Order: sequence, then structure tokens, then C-alpha cells
Amino acid sequence: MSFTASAFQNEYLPAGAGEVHAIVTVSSSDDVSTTTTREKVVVFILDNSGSMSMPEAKIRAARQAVATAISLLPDGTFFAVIAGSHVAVGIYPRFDRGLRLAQADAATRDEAMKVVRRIPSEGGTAISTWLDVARALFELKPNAIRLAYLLTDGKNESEEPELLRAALDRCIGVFQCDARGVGSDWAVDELRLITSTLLGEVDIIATPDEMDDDFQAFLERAIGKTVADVQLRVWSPLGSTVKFVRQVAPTIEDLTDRRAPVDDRSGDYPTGAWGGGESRDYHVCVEVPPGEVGAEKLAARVGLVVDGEVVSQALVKAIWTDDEALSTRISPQVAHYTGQEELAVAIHEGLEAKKQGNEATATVKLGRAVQLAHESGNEGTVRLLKKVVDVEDPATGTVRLKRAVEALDEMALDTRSTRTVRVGKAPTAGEGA
Amino acid sequence: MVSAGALDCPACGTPISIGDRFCEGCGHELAPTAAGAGAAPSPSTFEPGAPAPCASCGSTAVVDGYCDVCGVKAADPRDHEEAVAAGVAGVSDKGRRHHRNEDAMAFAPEPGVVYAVVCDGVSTTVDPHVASLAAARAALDALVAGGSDAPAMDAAYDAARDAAVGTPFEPAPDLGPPSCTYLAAVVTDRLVTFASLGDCRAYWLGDAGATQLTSDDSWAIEQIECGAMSVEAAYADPKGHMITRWLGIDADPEWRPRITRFDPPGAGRVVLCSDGLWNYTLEPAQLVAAAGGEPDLLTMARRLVDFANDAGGADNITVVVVDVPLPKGDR
Repeated sequence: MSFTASAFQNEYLPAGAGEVHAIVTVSSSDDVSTTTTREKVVVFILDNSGSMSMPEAKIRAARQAVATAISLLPDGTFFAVIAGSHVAVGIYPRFDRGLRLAQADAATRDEAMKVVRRIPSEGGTAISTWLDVARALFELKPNAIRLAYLLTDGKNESEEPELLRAALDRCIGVFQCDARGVGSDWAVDELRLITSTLLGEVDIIATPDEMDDDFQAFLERAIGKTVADVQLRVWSPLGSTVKFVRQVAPTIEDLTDRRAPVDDRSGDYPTGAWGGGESRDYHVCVEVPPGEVGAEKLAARVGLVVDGEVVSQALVKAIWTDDEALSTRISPQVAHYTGQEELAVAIHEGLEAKKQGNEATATVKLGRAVQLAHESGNEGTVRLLKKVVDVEDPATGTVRLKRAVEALDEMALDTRSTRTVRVGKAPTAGEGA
Repeated sequence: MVSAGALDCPACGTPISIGDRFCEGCGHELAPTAAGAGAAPSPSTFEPGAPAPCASCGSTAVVDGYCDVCGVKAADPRDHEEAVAAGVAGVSDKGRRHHRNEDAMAFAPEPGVVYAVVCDGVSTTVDPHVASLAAARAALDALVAGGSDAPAMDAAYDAARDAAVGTPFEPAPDLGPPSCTYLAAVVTDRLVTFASLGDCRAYWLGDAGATQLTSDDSWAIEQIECGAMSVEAAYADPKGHMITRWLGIDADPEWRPRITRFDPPGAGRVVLCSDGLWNYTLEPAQLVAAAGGEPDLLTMARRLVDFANDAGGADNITVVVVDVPLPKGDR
């Protein structure tokens, strides 16, 4: 599999300006070799606290979903199932002979599927214990592609938040984790903290019957991953500051604080595992010392590092000009993702204001969100917003807060607010100033 | 000259192949050794040598054509090029305000005739420097092939247009496809023939001073010619330098160059230049003063470029000077 990186920007700056923006699109080729030598570890972390059997359908669906996923594990995949309440227990393999992983074959799949059908449901919720056990399992295979799927229906109420943060810190770089909240009694911020820290995605499972499909989709993504621990390497010149590095597609994820210095002018940002045919966009903003009119500078070099080697890179440039026709151009990619970033913030702030009972602010923010989502062709987000507000005019963002909103709908909007669309989906792209 | 083993563009570091005439990365013209046998003689040469220290920080570490410490673009040989041959000399310079030189010049002396081409890349298009160089070289080849008896002005223009149209490019928002302007001259002692499209100009510098020989395809000229504005007002307008015709994939295929024929009244010089010079010499007398009666061709071209730079250097500046009568003997 090979990678390509391309930069999209307006490289022309007016005199005295130094802030350079670029969208870097990174794509992996589709030519996945049929046999990958890379080992793979998949760990399912199931909430089995007492609430999972209220109603009983939840735990039953969870058991069934994880059993289905296990049945689909390719031979040779290392796997484990952890049940988490106020403690974490090895469901399969059992931990009575120490922490270990199973390797998928007909026998282990059969055995595991039988065992998971008997997962009980009792106790509280202390997610740090689940993560610590998962970490210990993943540390057995440090060079493998390491992916976890965490399912919960409640808040992390059996421990102090600091314990969860500390456990997450210990897990950074050890494994990636997707998280799913079932129903509406869990906390979006809590699961987002987990997935942001561990390079995964958070989503809502509104009703238990959606579980099976979601587990399968996760497993398909996991099977598709062929390269582990890919880093985005950003070089910037002497005297410059990297103001931010954000993944902006398929979801918004701020990587700025995740920089690991490589040398004086370069740093690596983690992007996790990649499969074939993936494409992700990054918004990079660098402040460089302004040059004279007529000068050209390299503002950043953005590359992909796989197994310690730079495999592809894109150049982000700065050219100073007194030609306003050049310096006032706006890159459609930068404009588009700046809008998508504002959209996510508007939803977050709107929902926050609504929670605080500040209806005026909530109306303005969510109205702006409708406008941005509509303009950019982000129909998925428009649909989610329409369950929270009544839209009078999407073009101007004129909305009214709905009187009765389902908690599930508000959480779905919150959870999925960071999903973006690619450039070019907008009904009328590239208009304005 | 580029050594046979050097397979990276000396200007930007992009890998090149034997036989390439231009760098795919930056459009830099590659020396004949790299261009291989059969290529037209290069009108200008350069010495790659060791990387020059960064003008900004002094580092000699260059990666991807940029200083690896402070990021400043490494010097490009096209930033300032000089070439001289029998009866003709030229200087092409980046100027003071532009980040690269998008002008291109090409000329070739033959017995009894000098062929010369100047093209100015349109800065609001993608990679105009690639288009201008390709167009200038293609036109020169066609002019040389056509000979001096019936100058191949049409064929040369078609070759230049095809080269500009065929310049590979990645579309960019708000930037047009690679485009350039065009001025070609076939100079003999008895007759000078020009083909022009866009706003590069030809002047005659003789005993009676300077005379403009070609007209421009520009907004300013349209205003002046229809009497709507004075010369001063037209060029003072921000739109003054907007060209109304160019070579490129989005140019009207019906556009043809203006053909101008000129009988030299005696000894003098034909000056071909981009608007980077003539913008500072709207009064032809200024051109005479700047040239200063300099006897040496290359020195005269340099003086004119220096004059434009001293006046502000707002655009790329290219000046080609042809001696009339042409020097006697072979070449």
C-alpha cells in the first residue's frame, strides 16, 4: 500500500502577513495485498454493569453482536473479550492462567461465542479498570495493529474522573479505541475523551437492535487496516510556529497537542492505523516570519511516516506579493473546512447553551450551524439539527428551538457534530468575497 | 553545464530524464547536455555548481528547492539570466517584487538574420513560467526552421500557442490555465518583421531617438485608441496593464498576432522587452536616456534592466537588444 499527500492552499500572502493555511489530503492506495504479514489484535470491551439488563434486551443484543463479530474474525487474528463493570473481567480468554489473547480459528471462535452468550450483567461502571486491562492485553503484541471497541450504556460513575484520565494517558500509543454509547444515559463528553485520546471514533447506538450491524462494521474496518501507527510529520522553518494541526475529514480531531518533537523543526502527530483506499484531510496552520514582497518560503512540509520512514509529502508554501488579485484568493478547501470546523463548534456551543437554559444563545448558535451545514452540503448534520430545531430558512440560519426534544436526538447531534463532508458537496461551492 | 550524471533539476531538485528540455517541476530550461543531441542550441547557459548559501540565513542545506533551515526558496537560475551571441544580447530578471521570473527569452543568430522571441507569463495563471519558456523555445525553433526570406511568423505563433496550450498543469482556484504573451522578431539589415500578441513591445533605438514599433493588446491601449482616456490616465488605472489577448488553453483560437514590418532607416538597435521595462519608459525618451548610447549590446540590456529595477522593479524584466546592421561574416 502506498500513500500520497497533496496540499491545497493559496500560497500568496500580502506584505507583512505570516499565517499560512493549507489542507493536506492524505490518501492510501487501494492495492491491498491479499496477505498482510502485520499481526492484528482486536479487543471487545463490553459494559456489563447492572444497567445493561434494564431492559434485558440491551445485554442480550450486546452478547449477540459480539458473538457475530467473533464469528467473522479472520483466522489468525488475536482477540479478547473483556466485560467491564466496576472491575474488568476476562470473558474470553479467561484470565485464570494470566492475561492472554486468543488466536482466531474455528475452535476458539466457537468457544468464545458460547462464552459471550453467558455474560452476566451486574455492578457499577469504572471505565479506567477496563482500559487498564485492555492495555495490558495489547502490550502483549506491541507491533501489531491494535484496535479496541468499547460499548457502554452509562456514565463512568463508580470512580473519579481523574482515574479515567490517568488510565487514558497510560493507553496513548498502546491501542486505538472506538466507543459506542447505547441509549441516552451515557455521557458524550466522556466517550469523546476516550476516542479523541485513543484515535478512535465515538457514536451513538440508539436502540439495541442497531448493535449487530455496528459491531460488524467495526470489524470490517479493523480487518481493512494494514498499516499501524502512521504519523503525520510536519516540518516548519526556523522562527515559525505550528498554530494547529487538525484532522478535518472524515471527522474533526485536533492533533495540535499531540506533537512529538522529531528535531528542531519537525514534529510527529499520530494518525493511527490505515487501511487501503482511505482518505483523510488535515488542516495545517503555520505562522512564519513574513518575507519581503517577492520572496518565497517553504512554510511547511507535511509528510507521512510509516515504520519510521517518510513515504510521501506535500509542500506548503508562502509567497509574498503586492498583487491583491493573488493574495485575496481563498482556497476553496481551506474555506470549506474552516466552515466545517465552525459548524462543529456552533453545535457544541449551541447544545451547551441549551443545557444551561440560555435559549437565545442556543438559537443563534444552532441557527448558524444549520446555515453552515446547509451551505456546505452536510446533509447528515442538517438532518440531525432538524430534530433539535425547527428550520424556517436554512440559507439565513433562521431557526426556532423545538419544544420537546428527545434526549437521544440531542445526543446523536452532539456525537456526530464532528463529522464533516468533503469539498464539492456544497450546492453552490466557491461563491463569496 | 549540467554533467551527464546529474538527473535532478539544478533549479528545484525535481528528478529529470535525459532528453528533457524543461524541468517538469519548475519549468527550468535544462542545458543541452541534459537535453541530448539534436536539441536546438540553448540561448542561455548556467553553471549549477555547489548550492549557494541561503541568502537569508547562510545555510547550504537545500531540500526540495528550499533552505532546510529558514525555508527561503533557493536561488533559481531563471531569477537572472543573461545571454549573448553575435549581434544580439538579452537579460531576463525577476525584478524586485515578484517571487519568480515568469518572462522567457530565446534568440538565435544565423548568417544575415537574428531570430528573437520574448514571452511574458501571465501571473494570475498556473505555472506561467513554464508556459512562457515553452512558447518562446517552440517559436524560436519554428522561426529558425522557416528561414529569413519569408519569415515563418504564422508557424512560429502556432508553435508557441501549441506549447502554451500543451503546458501540463493542475487547475487551481481563481488561477487561469498556463498563459503568456508573445513577441517574435526576425531581424535582417533591410527588414525587421514582428509578430506580437499581448503586451511585450519592440522599439527602434536610432539616431532620431526611440520609436515604439508594436502595439499592445491591453485595456489601456483600448481606452487610449478609442479616445476614452489619456495615456497617463489609462496607465495610472489599476486595469491599465490588463492584457486583452494571450496564449493559453482559454485564449480565443481566432486570435492572431499583429504583424508589423519595419525598414531600419540606418544603424540602430531593435529592443524587445516585457512590460517590466516599458512600464517605466512610457516616454520613449526615457528609454534612450536609460540605454545611454551604450555600444556593447549586453551592457545595454543590463543597463535597461537595472533602470527598471531602480525604478521599482515591480514586474519581471526582459530585454533583448539586436544590433542593426548585423555583424558581417558567419554569425
